[in-house]
Amino acid sequence: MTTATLKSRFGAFTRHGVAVSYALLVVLIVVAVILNPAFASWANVKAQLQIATFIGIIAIGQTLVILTGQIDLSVPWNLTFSSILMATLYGEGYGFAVAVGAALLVGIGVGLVNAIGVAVFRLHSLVWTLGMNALLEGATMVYTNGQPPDSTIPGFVRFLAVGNLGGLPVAPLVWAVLAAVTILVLARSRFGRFLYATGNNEPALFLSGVATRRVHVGAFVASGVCAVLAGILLTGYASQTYLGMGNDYLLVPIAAVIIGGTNIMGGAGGYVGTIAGTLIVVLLQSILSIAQIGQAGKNITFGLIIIALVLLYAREARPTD
Amino acid sequence: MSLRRYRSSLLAVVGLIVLLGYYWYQQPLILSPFGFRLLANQGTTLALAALAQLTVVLTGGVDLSVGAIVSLSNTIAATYMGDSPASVVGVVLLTLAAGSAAGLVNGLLVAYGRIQPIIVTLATLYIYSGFALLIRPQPGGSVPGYYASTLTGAWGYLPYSLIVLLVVALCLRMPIMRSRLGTAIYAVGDNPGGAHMSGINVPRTLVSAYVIGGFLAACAGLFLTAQTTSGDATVGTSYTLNSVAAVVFGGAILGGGRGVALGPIVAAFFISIIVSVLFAAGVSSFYQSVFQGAILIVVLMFGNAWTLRARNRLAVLRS
Repeated sequence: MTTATLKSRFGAFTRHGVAVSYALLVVLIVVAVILNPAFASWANVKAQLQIATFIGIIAIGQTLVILTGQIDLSVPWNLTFSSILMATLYGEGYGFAVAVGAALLVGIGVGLVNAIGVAVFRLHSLVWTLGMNALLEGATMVYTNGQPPDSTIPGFVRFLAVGNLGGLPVAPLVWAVLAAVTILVLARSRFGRFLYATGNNEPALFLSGVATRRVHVGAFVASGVCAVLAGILLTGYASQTYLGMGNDYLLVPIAAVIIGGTNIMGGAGGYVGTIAGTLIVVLLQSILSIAQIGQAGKNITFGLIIIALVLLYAREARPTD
Repeated sequence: MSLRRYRSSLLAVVGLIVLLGYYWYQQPLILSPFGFRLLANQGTTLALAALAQLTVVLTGGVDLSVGAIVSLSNTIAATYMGDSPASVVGVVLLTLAAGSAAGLVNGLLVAYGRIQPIIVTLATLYIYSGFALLIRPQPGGSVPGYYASTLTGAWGYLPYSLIVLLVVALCLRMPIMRSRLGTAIYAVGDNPGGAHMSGINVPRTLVSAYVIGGFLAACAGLFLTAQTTSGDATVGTSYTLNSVAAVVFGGAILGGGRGVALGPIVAAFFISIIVSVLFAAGVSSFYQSVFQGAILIVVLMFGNAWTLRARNRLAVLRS
């Protein structure tokens, strides 16, 4: 069986997968409301969306990278380093634009280096981005001397993270805008099509005259910038920056992408599914909290659900067909 | 025996020799029995974890649950070991069985569930670390002193940890990898369809490889327990990604089919010792992660530098 037919089969699974993940989302909402009617309150919905925003924004970058058949493991310390840099620069009296601009430059730089390793040196992103993560962890330690940084949070960042606009929370609105752009780019732009094509068959795309290295650059830079944006929002939300603030944001967004039906080997899927995946992981965490299941039970349930979902809709064709 | 088989390990071997040479220059005491013991103990856990990772990587997969199995083994051993030699032996066997069972679940899901290995092991990472937390919600527990000293002690210049590692690598793993099963593991990693056509039972081979991986990860957990003499449900976390790094640095190909044990073992020692070397060289501890990351990155680029010289970009893409 060739890769191409394998992937086209996966395409069918994926459309199916998006439907299944939205169905599961509805079931989870019903379960949550039955367990605790206050779950449907506007205050709680806002709180859940707030948490989902960080994961959802990181998952944008992760979706793009995974569509090309790669993965970005440099998110945690990219997020931490850029947030600390932003807060420290602002605290030292540099303006808002300089502080946020510097953070974004870090994200772009990390994305570029990730893309160079993957596209030029043809290294596996699993190890290359991991090395970047270690390097950024070290950079953070050197920059902060290992001390929790004194952070001053720009007012506008606070507003983006926890503010309200016409009764609606701002952070989920930011997420909604970014999500809409992502879905449009994936569905309608040349770059979007190239992302899928790179994941499906990069040599063929290269032979069609496409600069495939630039596609990798686009995906990884997007992921780097998304991690920085999530970090900025998280900083505003927590009103502080701290070492290790990104540690919870490595595997959960990747799980959200997988649950949303994107093929981990690239080439099939999309952000519509990832949105469902993001909401599912967030809801699951809070349902398990409502049911007063401890961390151990949470981990076990989380793992079982990933397996159950993937068994439902993301099985591969038999290699022996 | 053809030496060419071991050419992929060259980078790691040269790296470790240079590193040890520099360490000796900075800190001549490492050539003492005590220094030998210290060096050997530092790398053994990761070397065992790297062997576990290598076995799975050879099939074309990757095992993200290695660290969780290390943690699980550590919590089982430190919680139930007791003091009598009989209970120690019993719990060691129980731990090895638990690790193998964890590998069996991974293998069944990959081979018969037909789920991508990276997804299966991402999910079981959560499940196994959940079980580790159930067994030991708070760090603690203990192992008898003679258990720790049997594994981490030394006889003159000969550290026991090195014997443990050699026994596991040469007397347990090597015969398997040289057997029909071992050949099948390499074949499945290289080309599953071709392996099937040659009459190899692909699913059964995959399951066996993951069981061996789980067993070896449990060995790593048991050795780690002898070092720390207590249990902690998160102690193994760093071993997942470091074992992948050791396997790649050691010359195995993510994607399967190629790699020998020597490289990853040597690379595991390199990765484990480098922190002490930087410390001995007077590098501030804040710079240590920078160096660790930078060295990994430079080594990776060095290993793939041929892509820059290649005339034919298509050949590079297909590599």
